[in-house]
Amino acid sequence: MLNEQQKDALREHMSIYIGQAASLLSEMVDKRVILTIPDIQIIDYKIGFNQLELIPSFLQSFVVSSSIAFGETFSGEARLIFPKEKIKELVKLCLGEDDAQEVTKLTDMDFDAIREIGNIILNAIVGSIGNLVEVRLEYSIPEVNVLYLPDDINQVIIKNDVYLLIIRNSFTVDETNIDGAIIVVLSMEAISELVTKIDEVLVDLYG
Amino acid sequence: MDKLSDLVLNRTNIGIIVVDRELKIVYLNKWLQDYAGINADNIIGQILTDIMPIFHKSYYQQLVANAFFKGQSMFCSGAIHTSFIIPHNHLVEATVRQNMFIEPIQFGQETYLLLQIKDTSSQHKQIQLLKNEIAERKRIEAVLRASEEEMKELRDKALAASKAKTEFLAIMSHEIRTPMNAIIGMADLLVETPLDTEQSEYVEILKYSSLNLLQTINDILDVSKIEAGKLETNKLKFNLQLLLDELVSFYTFQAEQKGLQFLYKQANVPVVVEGDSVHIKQAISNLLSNAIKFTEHGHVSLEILSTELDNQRIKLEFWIKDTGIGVAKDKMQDIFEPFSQADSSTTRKFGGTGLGLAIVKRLVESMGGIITIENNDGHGSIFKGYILLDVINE
Repeated sequence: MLNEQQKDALREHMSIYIGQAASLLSEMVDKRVILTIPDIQIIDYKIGFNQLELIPSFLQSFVVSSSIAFGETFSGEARLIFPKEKIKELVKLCLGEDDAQEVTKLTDMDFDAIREIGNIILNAIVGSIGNLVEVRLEYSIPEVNVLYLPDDINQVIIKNDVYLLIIRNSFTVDETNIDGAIIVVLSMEAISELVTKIDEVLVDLYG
Repeated sequence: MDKLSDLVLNRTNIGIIVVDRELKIVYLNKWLQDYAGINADNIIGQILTDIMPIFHKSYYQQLVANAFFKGQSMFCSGAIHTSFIIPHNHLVEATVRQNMFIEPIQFGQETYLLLQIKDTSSQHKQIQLLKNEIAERKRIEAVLRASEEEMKELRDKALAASKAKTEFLAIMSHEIRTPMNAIIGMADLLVETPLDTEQSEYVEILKYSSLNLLQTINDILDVSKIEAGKLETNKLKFNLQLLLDELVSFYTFQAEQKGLQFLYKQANVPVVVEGDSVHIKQAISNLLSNAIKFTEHGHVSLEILSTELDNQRIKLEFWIKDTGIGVAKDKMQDIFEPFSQADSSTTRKFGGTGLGLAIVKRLVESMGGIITIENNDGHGSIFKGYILLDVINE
């Protein structure tokens, strides 16, 4: 769907925004936070698509997802996913809690923390798309869910014939790294507009 | 704002503030006024940072800018930020937790910022309680673990001490037995030499005392072997009838010497069996010699009954009754323990170490049986029990 050059251009564009999100997170938790997006894919999602191919293997289990809906004319949904067993670690890293009295069950406070972390990252990703297509978007309030993938994929992709922007996301706090993924669900119109804009960027860059 | 929506907004359990682009407060609902102890009349038109100084921080300034210029909403959690506005009636501020939503709203040509604040302190408190519970559980677990280790250490020490005692007894008994045999042998030789009446009497006393002492030492050696787990059982084919006949004739003689009657009854006893004949003989001898020893008048009886358990095994039951001094009820519990006689005056009168019954009990148990004692209607004791033996099908 995207050639290597288009992928690189989109990745570079999004990296600026994801970098801003990282600095916002760093300020928020008062720790060194690094966010990177090592890989981007666009998938034409139709009935019968092999869902196992879609979801990276480390996310084929219980996951915690934070999602926002955006836009009116240019609309879609963005979702940040982390493995459920990594959530406690992620929240602990961000809050710097000691683990002497560790509560192993996920609490409402953990979900709130992940909702906020997801909010910052998703705002950056959606913001970068909005900036690229030059549309002012409206953002919904983020929702947090626990899902079992790939069985619950229907809760992630509610319509068929959509395009999925799958962004691998690596989250590093201090020295610890936690991998997740962002899935952006876009309509066909939205994706073609996005690709057109990527090409315009490429023309600007390389002529 | 129309009156119904105003009423609804004032009834919600959530704090609502609306500010314009200059961060001037244009609306503050009743919940928040009560919560923060402020009056809307004094606060409308003032700057947000007056009641929420947190918005001086660059992080929140960025969120405000993102909301106004990019249309981005933002959720801020109490898990990360603790709280955003100070509640007026909270004594301990550290326990306050709030969540906040920041959302741009378009109204006519103007963009406003809607802030929603929700108190989540009870959530936080629950988690703190849970943490305390976990800490308490861990503390108790640690205490239990420590005491368990202490118990184990004490048990190990006690076992080591008991083993040392048993080993000491075994070594000492062995060391004493060797010269004892020499003393008895010499007394035997001395009897054969020409002696006058007085000397003969002295040698007899010497021999009798030596044999008594040897018996005591042998008993101690047996007990220490049993306690050290070194009691060996030899399973051999032997003639059970012959063994019983020998025992009966020996103890009939012993009883009659003391003026007592010896009664013997047996039923179903097979001729040839497989087992440890030495142990059987030792156990029954011990019980019979005890019965004779503690009986001054009347009789001593031995009854044996054999029952087939299956093709391979028999249960050999025995009853040894006497009309002697008997055992007090409260002493019956301890009678099979080493070094316990009914009372110390018994020891003075009848002699013995109190090891005999302890040995019998262990011998019987080593042959898959049990032994108990009961009163013989106030006239002596009944020792009853059984052992298991293999039968020879020829």
